[in-house]
Amino acid sequence: MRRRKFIQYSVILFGSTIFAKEIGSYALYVSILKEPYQTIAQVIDDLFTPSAGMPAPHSLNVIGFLKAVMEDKRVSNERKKNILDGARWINQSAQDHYIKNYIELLPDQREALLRKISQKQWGDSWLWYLMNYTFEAMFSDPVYGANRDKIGWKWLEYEPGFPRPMKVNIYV
Amino acid sequence: MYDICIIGSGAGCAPIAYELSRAGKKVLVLEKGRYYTEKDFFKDELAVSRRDIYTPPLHEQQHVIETQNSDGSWQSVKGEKSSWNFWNGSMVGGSSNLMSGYFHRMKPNDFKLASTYGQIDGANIVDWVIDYEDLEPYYDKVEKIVGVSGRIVKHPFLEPRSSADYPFKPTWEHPISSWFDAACKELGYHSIPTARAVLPDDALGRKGCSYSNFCGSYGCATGAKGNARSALLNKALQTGNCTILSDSFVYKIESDDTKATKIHYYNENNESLHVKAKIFVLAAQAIESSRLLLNSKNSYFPNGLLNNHGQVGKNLIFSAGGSGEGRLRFEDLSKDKQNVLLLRGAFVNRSLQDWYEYEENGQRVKGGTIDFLFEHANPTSRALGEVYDKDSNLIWGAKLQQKLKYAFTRSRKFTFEVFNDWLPTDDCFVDVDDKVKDKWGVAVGKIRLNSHHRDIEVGTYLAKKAVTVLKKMGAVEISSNISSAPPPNLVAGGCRFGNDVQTSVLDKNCKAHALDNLYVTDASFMPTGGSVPYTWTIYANSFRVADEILRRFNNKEI
Repeated sequence: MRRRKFIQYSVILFGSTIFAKEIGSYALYVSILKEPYQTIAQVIDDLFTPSAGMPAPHSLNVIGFLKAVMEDKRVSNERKKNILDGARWINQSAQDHYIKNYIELLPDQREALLRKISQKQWGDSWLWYLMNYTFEAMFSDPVYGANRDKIGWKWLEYEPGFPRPMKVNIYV
Repeated sequence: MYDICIIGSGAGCAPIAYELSRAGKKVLVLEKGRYYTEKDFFKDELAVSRRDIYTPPLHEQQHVIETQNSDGSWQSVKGEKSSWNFWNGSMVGGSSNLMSGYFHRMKPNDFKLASTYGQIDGANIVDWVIDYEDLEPYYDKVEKIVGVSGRIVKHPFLEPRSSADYPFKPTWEHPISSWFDAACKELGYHSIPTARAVLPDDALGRKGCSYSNFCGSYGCATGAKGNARSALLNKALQTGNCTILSDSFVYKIESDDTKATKIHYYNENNESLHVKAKIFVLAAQAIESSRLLLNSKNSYFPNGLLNNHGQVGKNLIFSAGGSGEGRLRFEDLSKDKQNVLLLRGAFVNRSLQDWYEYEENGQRVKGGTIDFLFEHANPTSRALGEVYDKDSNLIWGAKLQQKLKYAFTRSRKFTFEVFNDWLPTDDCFVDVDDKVKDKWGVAVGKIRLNSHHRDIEVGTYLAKKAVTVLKKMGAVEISSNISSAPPPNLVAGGCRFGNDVQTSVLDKNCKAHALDNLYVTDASFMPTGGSVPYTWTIYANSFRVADEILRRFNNKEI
């Protein structure tokens, strides 16, 4: 207990200057990100384009959450590398098929490319992990800084268990 | 010098610490993990279930796992490079902190599997050297001291009991339990209210259950769950005779030719210290107990402590079986039933044991137990269960979101877990890997995994029976998964007890054949595991061994 070192999920997330509501537009939000997060943000937005009342990924600050994951020693280095490498791989596929990067494609082209890579082992795995971390952001306790105002919980009428965490409990 | 030093603080430790400290003996408990109490436990899926904060990071502590290729050769992989994680609750009280507390006793025939059902080719089945009657008084003791809640009903495999009923009334039951009972009645099955190591109300100096909807995998914030720390170690501490040191990793047991003499451990500052005691008890959970013995070589035991006959680590077993699920949909239910289906917090508390033994081709076959419950409330894992369509294609966008909305708000999954014997074989055992070290530089445990084909056959038979109940209840999208994948939290064996020093490590009282003052009291002693979760049996056996140790102290044998 005395030696616990907290991973600063909250600091990274609450300290972020890229909350969408402060920026106003998702396009601008994506544009100010640096690669590979620019590509990853676009893919996540395509996977979770809001419908059925779901909050948008940028309102959940999924990218901020993902950056905190990259600092988390409880997540293996192989997993982190794979998440980042996937952005490069999908851009290679985009170049192969359209001679453009992923974020430069039209929505229908992006959808077709996602469908194509989901049939490959690396693509299925990569997209699954992006969904995994998006769900983690969506359902994590607001104390972690992603599921602000419980918007993820409210969407699916999810009731948390009690006691809820009063602080970030990720540590090494 | 302590009277007794116990390595590990879980279900194998706590009854001995409780009984010996109350008898005035000086007890030291050394626990590798941290010292959490009720105030440290939160319903935090990210920390508990996604980041596994109650187990060591695999880059610091891991196992090496050996699995068999299709050509019969063996391949090994480091835990940190794979999805294998054989750690369980690393904390004071051990993995009992995180159990669901489904408590079943082993049946009389579980103690004599070989003589009742005969040998099976490729399996190392033996009878236990004690009978159910030897353990029954201690099962009863656990009910009263640890606290077991439930309600006895007659059924074909109800084991003999010295108490008419459980000492605590059942926990709050979900209305779906009556739907389950009705379905079983129609099918001619015997619905059993599952006993739980959970207190429904304040008792035994502990708070009652808060029905948080997050029990299994989570630490209990009220103390209602009968974990080793809340139920027993806290009371041992109250005697003033028990000391618990957390963050203390025991890496070697020293001995001469007749006695264990001292143990060496690293404290939280990574300082190497040692402790002497009259009696040592090893209860670090099956895999780690064998690892510590194998890492404790000396001139008297050149192959590892107690291993002069090559038996340490052998016949490792898990709980065989698997799980299944079906979906109950709002559109198939009345408005009243829709409302109760989404009720959170209450327990299902139902099991079937109609096929604990069954006939096949004129032969008696050992079967098992089926527990029924709701899908775990963890939202991330529930959501991830929806990301593939029925053709195993990943889905996203509106299709996924509609599926999620339906799954969370218009339906609920009802699930089952199958428990049957994992037959002990020559190819399932613990060794150490001298080339792979943990953060202290100690050789890690190497686990060879193999299961007997019979395990799958029995599990599949039971799963088919469970599916009939789900169908009768009106569930759809029914599936089951019976596999040879070992559940890391249901592990036993490695230091069998028995009468033959050539084929067993421990005597009938779980004392080492080879040393006069070393006992092993986690599930390592079990030559077969029964077809139930192990915790109740570990507790009961540890109370039994405590009586034997006290007898020896009282008779001046120590």
